[in-house]
Amino acid sequence: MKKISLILMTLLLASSIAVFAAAPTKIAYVINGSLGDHAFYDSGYAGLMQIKKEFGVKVKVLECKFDPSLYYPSLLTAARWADVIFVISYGFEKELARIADRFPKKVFVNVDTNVKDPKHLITSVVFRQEEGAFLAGATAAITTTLTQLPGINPQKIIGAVGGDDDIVIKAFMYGYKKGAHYIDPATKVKIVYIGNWDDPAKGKQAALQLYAQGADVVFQVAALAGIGVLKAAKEVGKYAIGVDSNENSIAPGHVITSDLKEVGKSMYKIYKMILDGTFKRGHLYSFGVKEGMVGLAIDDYTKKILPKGVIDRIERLQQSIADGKLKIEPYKAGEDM
Amino acid sequence: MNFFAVLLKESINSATPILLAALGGAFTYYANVFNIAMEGMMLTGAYFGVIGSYFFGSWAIGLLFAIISSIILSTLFSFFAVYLHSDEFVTGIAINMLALGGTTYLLRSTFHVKGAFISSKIISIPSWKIPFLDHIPLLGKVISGYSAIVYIGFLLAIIVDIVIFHTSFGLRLRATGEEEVATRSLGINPLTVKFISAVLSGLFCGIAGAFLSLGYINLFSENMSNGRGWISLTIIILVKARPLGILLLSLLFGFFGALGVMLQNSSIPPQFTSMAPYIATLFALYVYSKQKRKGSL
Repeated sequence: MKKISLILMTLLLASSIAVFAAAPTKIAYVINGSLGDHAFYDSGYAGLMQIKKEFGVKVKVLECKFDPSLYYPSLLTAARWADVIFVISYGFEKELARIADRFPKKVFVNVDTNVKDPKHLITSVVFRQEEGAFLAGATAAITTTLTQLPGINPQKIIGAVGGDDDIVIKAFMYGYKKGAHYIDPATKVKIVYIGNWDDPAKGKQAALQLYAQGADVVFQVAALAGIGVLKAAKEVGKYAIGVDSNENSIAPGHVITSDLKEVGKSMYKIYKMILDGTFKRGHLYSFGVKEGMVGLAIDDYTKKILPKGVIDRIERLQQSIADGKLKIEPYKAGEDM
Repeated sequence: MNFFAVLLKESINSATPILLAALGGAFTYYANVFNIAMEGMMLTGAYFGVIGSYFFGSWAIGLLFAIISSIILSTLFSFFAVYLHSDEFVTGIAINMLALGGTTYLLRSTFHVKGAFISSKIISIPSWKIPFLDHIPLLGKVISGYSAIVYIGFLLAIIVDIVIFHTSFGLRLRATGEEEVATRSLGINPLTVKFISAVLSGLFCGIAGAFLSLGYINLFSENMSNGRGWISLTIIILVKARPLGILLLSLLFGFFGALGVMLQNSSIPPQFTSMAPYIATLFALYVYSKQKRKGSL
């Protein structure tokens, strides 16, 4: 009896693996925050919806709403149910490694940070956000010299509002500064961290102060709280740069461009790689301007603000990063800015 | 120079919702109703302000919606806490949770968005430029050009002070809070007084919520009250709900909040500058208690 059940179990297991090898049909998206930030998490969600539409797979989103106690159970639910689990695990790398250990057959793709586990079960996707932020910084540094535009003062000051001074945001700020100083080393860059991701009033307050200190352009890297930065730009007639998703339409005429981080596109690409068999488990994928995963959103809103010559210049800069002619050093933790 | 004007202006802007909610809470404080539901009332007001403004294309209707919704919530609160004598603390927590979950749910079911609802159709409360003062170089920048609610808030601080300490309603309110049985013997129904105090706190919190979503920033985001109601509660307890004390402390809190952002330009770490308003409040509490002890001796 024991033997038969064992054989049965093996058969069952084998068949489930066979099914899985054919095509993963259930995809989960586990995020540490909540959807609706008009930026980072929403970009991933858009990618998930595209996968769903195109391949007819089942999807599930688990939001942890910045509540650490929800993280492990959400991950567990996702791992039990799905074949492929996309995870934004920033701050919860240990929990992810523990779950991956329990479900070694499932595919775990961690987005935005590099998670190293001893068995190499977790695949990581990181973005070279320094490249996009570099372009944002360059754009801001050029814009602050265009005194013919309404609201631009003669001082060369630009600003940035960060949600928190964690390593990802610091990498953004590092790239932003590099980009600004690449255009003109005399550009002053003022950075403020508001310690908050979802209070737009705080973002607005910080931006208004930066504008009052003479900044013409403020780059927001604070998710939902950063929407306040865009609103502040509109109120005082200055300029802002959005982040992660295309936010140019939120304050038309005042959001010059958005520094895109194509979380969704990267998930779509990874899923396609799983389908065609080129996906490597445990590999670290690094996406940047070259792969079209990071870059500026230049659209009609941008064209209404910036003169054509400036846009061409920014696009050339973006192209030279894509071609590898212009290399931006990655940010190293603890590096002084 | 311009920078200090903006710093002061931002202090006043961030003080306004706290000031309004705390003034509302002052009524319940004096009526001896332990009201911790300001946070939820403010959030509800912020949401329905956007609803009214968006669907009717008028900030006035938005403000009206904010006030009505917040008053309904405060009526619910007083129904349980005053009439049914359920625990005020637990009821308050329930109201706050209801407001948070309810507005999040309504946001999703009405606008099919998560996180935040942003639209150019949300009409904001106009800002007021005081005719002559506006042209005075520095002063004009500091005292002119706010959302109308800011001026109303300052005015209300004085009005509330007069109402509580210089009218018969204020006397009844305070008497009810101090000795319920005695007031009953004078023919005053303490339940009615408590109920009115709760409705007034709802009214003020509704205005505070409308200021957040229609006055300062023109959108609704989940949990946009973000603890401001709790800060109001702290301020009320700190100054024993004296309206002018509330005004002063709200401004102090707003100022240190704005200053915290500015201090980041120096080499102070951002985590520390975020603590500035709280440290300032603790310090104020210390000075205040010390003075009080001196006075009693």
